[in-house]
Amino acid sequence: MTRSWLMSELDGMLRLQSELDRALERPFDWFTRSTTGRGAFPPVNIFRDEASYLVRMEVPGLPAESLSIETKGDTLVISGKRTPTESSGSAHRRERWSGDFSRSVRLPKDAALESADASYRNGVLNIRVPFREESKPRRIEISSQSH
Amino acid sequence: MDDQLTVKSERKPSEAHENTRPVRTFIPKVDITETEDALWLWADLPGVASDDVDIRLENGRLSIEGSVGLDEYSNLSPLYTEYNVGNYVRSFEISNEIDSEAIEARVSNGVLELKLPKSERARPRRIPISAH
Repeated sequence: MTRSWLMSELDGMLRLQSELDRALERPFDWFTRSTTGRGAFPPVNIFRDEASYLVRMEVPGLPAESLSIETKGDTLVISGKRTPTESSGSAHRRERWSGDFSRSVRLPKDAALESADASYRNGVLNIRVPFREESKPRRIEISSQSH
Repeated sequence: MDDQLTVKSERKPSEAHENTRPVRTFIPKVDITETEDALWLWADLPGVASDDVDIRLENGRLSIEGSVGLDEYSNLSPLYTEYNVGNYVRSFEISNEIDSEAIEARVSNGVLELKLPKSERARPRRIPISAH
């Protein structure tokens, strides 16, 4: 699988931007201001693979210790705090967000939240929630009876 | 303190940045501050590893590029999406002189921190008054 193939697939999968482009009636543009446009913050993507749900959140610049993940029933609650850039100088530009945040993500019934694990790499939080055993596809053996 | 440098942001990458592949490109959010001896820049580049950041300073134009790792997206089907995944490009015109040999860059947790020291000539200097 080549990288460019994956990239175009990914772009097709994440159709958010083209929906936004349509909504704003502007011509298609590869250079977009920001990766997100839905307002909810920090932005979350949810995927699935053959064994689990994957919840990803863009939270660059936090030490992993300042992120907290809790479960309440079938809901994941991700919260944390990002401190503003510390600098003694005069500011030319302040675009990066800071402050407290909390996002709740409700997962389907077959998500085994008690078995979830999380990692944080390059500013992206990645939570993996496996499917429950009983909801995984299972092969049913057919017994053959010979007399 | 008065700003000594002017920093102009360009909304769009220049023609030279045109991609040959269909890769989405986003403009990263930045903080820029200026101290007496340097210009500091922080850019949010979530999903970009430190090896995949490219920084250039040419003719007073600072450009930052970050490419995202895509391996983590193979074999996944999206269920719900709020953000897009793509590369980051942004450039700035920087008015006065930067000591390009002394630029320091660091990437941690998806944030680029850049220190652009002013060249000797561009630093504020106190002029001593000699007493006779």
